[in-house]
Amino acid sequence: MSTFFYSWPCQNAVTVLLVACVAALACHLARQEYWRLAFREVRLHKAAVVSFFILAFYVLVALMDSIGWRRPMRHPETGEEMRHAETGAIIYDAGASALDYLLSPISGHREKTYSAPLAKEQFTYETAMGDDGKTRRVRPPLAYPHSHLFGTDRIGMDVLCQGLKSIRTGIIIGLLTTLLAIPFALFFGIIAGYFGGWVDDSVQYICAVLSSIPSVLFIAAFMIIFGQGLPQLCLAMGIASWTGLCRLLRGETLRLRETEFVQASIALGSPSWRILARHILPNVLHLVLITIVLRFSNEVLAEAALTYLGIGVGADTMSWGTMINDARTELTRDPVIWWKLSCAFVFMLGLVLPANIFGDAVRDALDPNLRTQ
Amino acid sequence: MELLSVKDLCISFRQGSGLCRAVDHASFSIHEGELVALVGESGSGKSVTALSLMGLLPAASAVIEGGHALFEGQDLLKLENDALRKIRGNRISMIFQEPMTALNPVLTVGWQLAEVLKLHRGLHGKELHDECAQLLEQVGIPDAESRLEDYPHQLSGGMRQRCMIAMALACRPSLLIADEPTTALDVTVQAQIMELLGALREKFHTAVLLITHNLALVKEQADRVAVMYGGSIVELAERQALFSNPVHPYTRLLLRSFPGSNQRGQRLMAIDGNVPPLAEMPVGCRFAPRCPLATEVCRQQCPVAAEIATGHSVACHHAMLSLPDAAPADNVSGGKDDTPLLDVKDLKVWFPVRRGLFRKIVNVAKAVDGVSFTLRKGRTMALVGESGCGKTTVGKALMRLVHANSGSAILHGNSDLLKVSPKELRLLRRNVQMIFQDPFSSLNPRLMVGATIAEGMEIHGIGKTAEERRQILKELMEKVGLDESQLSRYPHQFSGGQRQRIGLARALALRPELIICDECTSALDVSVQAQILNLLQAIQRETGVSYLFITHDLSVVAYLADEIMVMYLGHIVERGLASEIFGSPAHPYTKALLSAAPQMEPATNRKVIRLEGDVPSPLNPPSGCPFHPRCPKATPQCATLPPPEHRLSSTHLCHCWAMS
Repeated sequence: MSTFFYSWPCQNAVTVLLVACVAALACHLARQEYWRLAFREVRLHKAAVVSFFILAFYVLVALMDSIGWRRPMRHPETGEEMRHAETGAIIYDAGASALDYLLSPISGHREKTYSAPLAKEQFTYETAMGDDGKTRRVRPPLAYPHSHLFGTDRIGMDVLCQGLKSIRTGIIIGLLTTLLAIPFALFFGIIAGYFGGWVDDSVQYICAVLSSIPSVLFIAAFMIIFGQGLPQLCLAMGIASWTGLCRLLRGETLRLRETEFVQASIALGSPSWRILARHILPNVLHLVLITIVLRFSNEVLAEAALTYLGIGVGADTMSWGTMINDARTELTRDPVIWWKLSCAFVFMLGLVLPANIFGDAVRDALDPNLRTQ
Repeated sequence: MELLSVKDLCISFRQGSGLCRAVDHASFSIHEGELVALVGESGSGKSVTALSLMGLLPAASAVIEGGHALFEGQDLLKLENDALRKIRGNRISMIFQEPMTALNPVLTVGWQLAEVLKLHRGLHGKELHDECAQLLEQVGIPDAESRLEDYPHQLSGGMRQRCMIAMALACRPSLLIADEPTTALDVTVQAQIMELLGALREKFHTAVLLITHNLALVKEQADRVAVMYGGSIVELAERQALFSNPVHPYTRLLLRSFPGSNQRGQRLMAIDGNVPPLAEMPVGCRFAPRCPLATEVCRQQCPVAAEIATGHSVACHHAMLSLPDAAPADNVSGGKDDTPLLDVKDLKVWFPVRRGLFRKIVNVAKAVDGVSFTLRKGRTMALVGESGCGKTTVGKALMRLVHANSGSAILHGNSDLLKVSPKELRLLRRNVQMIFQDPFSSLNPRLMVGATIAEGMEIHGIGKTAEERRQILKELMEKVGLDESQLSRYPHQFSGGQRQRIGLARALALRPELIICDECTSALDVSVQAQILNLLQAIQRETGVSYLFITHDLSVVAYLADEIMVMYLGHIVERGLASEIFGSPAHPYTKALLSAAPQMEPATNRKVIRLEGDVPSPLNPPSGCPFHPRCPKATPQCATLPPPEHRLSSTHLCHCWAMS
């Protein structure tokens, strides 16, 4: 079952489905005047537009890293497709993502070990026999000099490639966590605010209990029980973080419930589900969107911190957290090996800063208090 | 002697990349000890004018483009901040509309009062304390000495406004700017405040610039009146001249759109359209698009104010032309019969007050405490009372928007609105609908107007097909005076009056027999209010719908209502036909209420019956008759037993001990 889940056809299908959902939502919103106006306002914000394109680049990389296929194994010498000895079926390799194929020229440039960014020679000394027969400590020249923008790591892998491969992890953590948290928050927040009474009491009680557990402890416990991995981490972070939005939505719903248009709808005889769907939900959606965008960067940073603590994604998943974790030992060396940390830093900054700027612009555009009608 | 002289004042606001003129060549003057009223509808620039005199305009967006305002030899518009501070609160002070927010909630009243005195008069110590107490006493706050230690939330709205006045008058200013000082207050409290202002004006000889939209108030209080529209002063005259001989078409229309009992049965003279937003102000005369007399000249050229009599100047090209008369209403009495529609008996709504860990009920607020009445088909019943008397709760209880504790409301003599099951209630909702007070929150901002109006039809299956519904929507829009093409717009694209029409269309979509109008015109300007009142009447004639009109505005009631109920602290104190209530009010509260409301009708030498104090809290209502602590005619008996019902005629009821 889980092998199917991780197989390429399944991953591709999920990716396409996700893109289709986002596109459908965007089309739906674009047809509504309210969102069109908001979008126009965001477009006037120069920094937000730049941020949007940077974010789009990240998303594109993540998408390319999510779509992949397997290729037939070829004979290393003849280049012929290898076939099963008995059945004659083509034998495929483990497959790789579109990004892997795209990066293969760079990622194929393996060195022996550490090298500084754009260096000509290896970073570490090696003992070499000179022409005169004496042994000397030298820095051997690199196989591919001046080609590693962020240098290479201990086993000679290109650090830039690692940074790029980590984008998918970052985006998945940021998106999946928020997407997991939002349905809970939306459902419980709205029913608590609208129905009040014992419904409200019990939702409030659950929220209070959940938010009284320190989230790091909760996530650590969760990861220990269910094992380390990307899905587990997203789930744990999602559960740990929906209470804040839930309370926000409950408060907004409490206010909306007393507005005259909701009262009017009750007076018309609308059933509760209809009021929730037509009057309450569309009027809290802006809060949800603002939360998604602003929370996204928090989750990315949280993942790095958790992985550093050893309770994030496992060591086999490439992420900025694992890069920072590796850098911990590199930083104690003398001279310091700084480029892995710098690479993770640059990539995280490149995602989090635009996400924040864009989030602020979206909030300003959607906030009814700031909006002039 | 001239105290303040404003000449050619021009103020603009930055909007987008351009400037929008908010005040356009306004000129007026105030003499010592005089009360000048600046009247106009919302958006007319009256508050902006006042704020510019105090130097309180937002520096980032407002630009004073020209003119001067001479006050005691200084031009207020050119003064530096330091110099302005010496004048502000000292020579000129201001009272604001909202007494709830004008006082700082975390400081005591005494502290805030002392601040002014320390700053401008340099008082301190015992002298300061005594002066504070004396000031509060002057504005009629009983037990002033101990009140100094109170925080604003411990005072009622009227008391807070008194404190504001005390602060404003602390330095004996020569000019007091009062920006809508009584708009947020009830009529009986308004009467107290205006009386106080009058007395203080006489005592200290302070000039007052009264900014208001209430024409009746102006008629009773002002010496001179400046009428503003769209940023210009269109007419400026002595009060007498203005009200007996208004010249500018806007003034004339405004006066005629004010509802009152002498317009009963007629259509009100509404002014078409709305005040345009600043950015869309027309080039010529700003009133031209709404003026029935407008010609090509008006649209091209801005009229200049000209003096037509001593002290009476008008800015209009056609000041002398006569206006078309209001169309007489069709047969008003048609369609009315005496069949009871809704019979309400002993309605009680009590809100529990819970406290503590286990939410124990510690008290109940008796918002509505035993209300009975009968609504008849095709009639308008008005429910009148001051804020907090429970009138809105009555409406909401009938709609089952709040839970009624006991009582019955029998519709058509068979089904009880308060007791039917939710399923039956959904069907009965078709018969009773509601329109709300706030045109801005009564429509869902995310729904197109068409969807808002169609919502009820979808729920109740009115109109089988989409095409059929579309047809009904079209008819409804026509009925409420909107264009069919506006169905696919969003609420924020409409003005307040238009939104109220949409709210009405939403209610009418179910073809109800009763519409509960909860303060549905109080958020609107007078000219727009007249449009809505006309519309309500036209629809009543056409469809025979009954209205339960909940309001605090007595002039609207006098114009519209067939029957009137007067409510005080959860009880109906008097009920009768409009002619009976206005002609021979019986209950002391009704009398006081009627006398407190300023009136437009000529030759009313009303004597204000002043009510002491404020409406008590429904959490702790007085024993016996709820009105007895404030009643001028109270006897010991009133405090012990609730008053019996007393019948003055078959239609006129009164609950008072003095009657029996």
